[in-house]
Amino acid sequence: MVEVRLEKVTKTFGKVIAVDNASLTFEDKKLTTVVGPSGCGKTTLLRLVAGLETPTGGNIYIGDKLVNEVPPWDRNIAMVFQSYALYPHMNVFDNIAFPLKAAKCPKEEIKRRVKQTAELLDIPELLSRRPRELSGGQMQRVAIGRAIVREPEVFLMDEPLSNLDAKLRVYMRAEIKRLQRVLGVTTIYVTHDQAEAMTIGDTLVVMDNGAICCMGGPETVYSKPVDTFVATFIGSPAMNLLEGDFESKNSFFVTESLEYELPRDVVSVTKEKGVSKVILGIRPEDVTVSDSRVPGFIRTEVYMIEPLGRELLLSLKIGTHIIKAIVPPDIRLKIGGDAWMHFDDKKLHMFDSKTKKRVA
Amino acid sequence: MVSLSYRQKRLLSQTITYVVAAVTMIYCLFPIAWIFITSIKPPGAEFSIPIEYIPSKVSLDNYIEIFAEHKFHYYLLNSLVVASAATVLALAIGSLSAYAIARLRFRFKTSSLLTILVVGMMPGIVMILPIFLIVRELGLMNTWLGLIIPHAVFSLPITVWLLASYFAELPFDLEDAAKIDGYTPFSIYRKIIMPLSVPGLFSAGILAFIASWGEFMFALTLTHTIQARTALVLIATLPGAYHLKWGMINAGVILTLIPIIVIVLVFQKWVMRGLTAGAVKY
Repeated sequence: MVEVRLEKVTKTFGKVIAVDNASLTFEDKKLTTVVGPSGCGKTTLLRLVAGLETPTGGNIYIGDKLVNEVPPWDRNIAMVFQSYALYPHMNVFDNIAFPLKAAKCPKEEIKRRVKQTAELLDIPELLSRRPRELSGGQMQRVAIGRAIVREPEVFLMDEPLSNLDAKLRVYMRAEIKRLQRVLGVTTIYVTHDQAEAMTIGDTLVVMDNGAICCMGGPETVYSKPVDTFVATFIGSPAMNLLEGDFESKNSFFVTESLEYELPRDVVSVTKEKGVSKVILGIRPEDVTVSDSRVPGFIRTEVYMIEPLGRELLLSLKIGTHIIKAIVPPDIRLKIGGDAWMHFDDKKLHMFDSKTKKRVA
Repeated sequence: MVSLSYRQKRLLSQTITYVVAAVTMIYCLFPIAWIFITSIKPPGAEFSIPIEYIPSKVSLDNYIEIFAEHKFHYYLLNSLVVASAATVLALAIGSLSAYAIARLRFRFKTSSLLTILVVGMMPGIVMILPIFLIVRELGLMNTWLGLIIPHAVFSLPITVWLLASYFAELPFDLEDAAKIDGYTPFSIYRKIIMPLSVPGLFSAGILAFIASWGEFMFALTLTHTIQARTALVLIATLPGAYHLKWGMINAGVILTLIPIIVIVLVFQKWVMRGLTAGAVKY
């Protein structure tokens, strides 16, 4: 097993920069998810590792081997495509056996390994079927089977679950995670779904506009977002961001319609960095809301109530700001009425208004 | 004005449809039926008055005569060899270039496609003299190969266009998947693209075969004797200076038609698909 290393990799298509100077290491035996909005270059990044695209600049290593000039058929990698890309003219057995045949495996061994793979994926009864006779979930399993049968050094998965219905997606998510643990193969998993990326990945890479925004464990990325993009992209509903001034004299965060007293640790760090224009961030679940007046809470107007089943999603209005909050469903509020809110001081995020980078 | 009920209207429109279909059928099939009827009349009876639409006496003498007197089976063989070989050649070259056009990004792609189209639309008569000279210089006059090559060339434009639109519909992911599974581009072409393109190859192949089988001008110019002359050309040269054996000529026409009819009937499914290639996804 190996790690995959990218050194200052750039890929341009004409004038479009798909991947911009990306340097990162996909750790050995770990499942790394690459997440970002559509068009951010994450699929191109994956195709670069696969060898389906050649980098315009920079180096790609699989293990210790520089693979810039190595064609995909010599890389010993496996990939699962969003469209599954099963060969329609072959049955499931031949689809799974296809990479083994390329490797000139003896017939008996092909039979044994395909069978073993089919059992691992719980699809031994499908081996004689054609792809068009399979359901989406079954096709998905066959595609994964074709990838794992050859025991590759690296797995690449390009939005493998996005064509499945919601229930099956959650199920397959766990299944892929389990398989990856069992097989222990370095895996790069691309998705646009931040929830999927969070739950499945050992490590999370966030991309935007061809650049790597950040990389780290899902909890770290979530609890300490490096900039406002990561803050709003990871987590649903998105983090509330309020633009305003930091007044170092009385340690207040001030906007046109809101004044908020900041906790001491945030103040000291912000002071140190000498930033005055700031963006204050708070996740909806870190906003406490009360239906009656509480000292120290801020009065707001209830703008919208959206029941999510287990909880309520509130939109609270203060002046020009709308703040989203997630609250237990037993709160007694009505649209247009008053609500009192408070931010959890330990969960406040402070960003520089100019650079959008995290301050505290 | 008599107002018609919905039922009557439907009946009327159905009747009109069938009448139009019947008229079209008769218009198309009558000449062929007439040729067939003439061919099975005894020699000499084809000019009898009054006209016998249903021959009073059926005879195969015309068929026997064309084989015995003119060795028509050799000409049929020439036609078969030339048309088959031209088809295979057109498919071999055409599918490779169609694949390149459908898959690769290169400069002048549109203009090369248009050039192919323009060449395809050029009337054959324009090229007959240069091709005659080329074939003569190559020493291929009156040989199968001397006719196979030009026929394959004339079928190439339609083959390339048809197959390019066919290949364009095959998803890119399949080739990417096969590359990652360890296959080189040429083995992908053989193991993925070719098997998936069988319907497209059939329809392009049938069109090429029919075109070569029915081609007259080049076959007349480039072949002279029983060694290479095609069946169609022989039939055209049958009328002699002093006699006109209509019955025998018509027998030859029917014999020449049979292979084409058989091919179209057997492969009609693919012909239809070929004609609508690129129109819908399936």
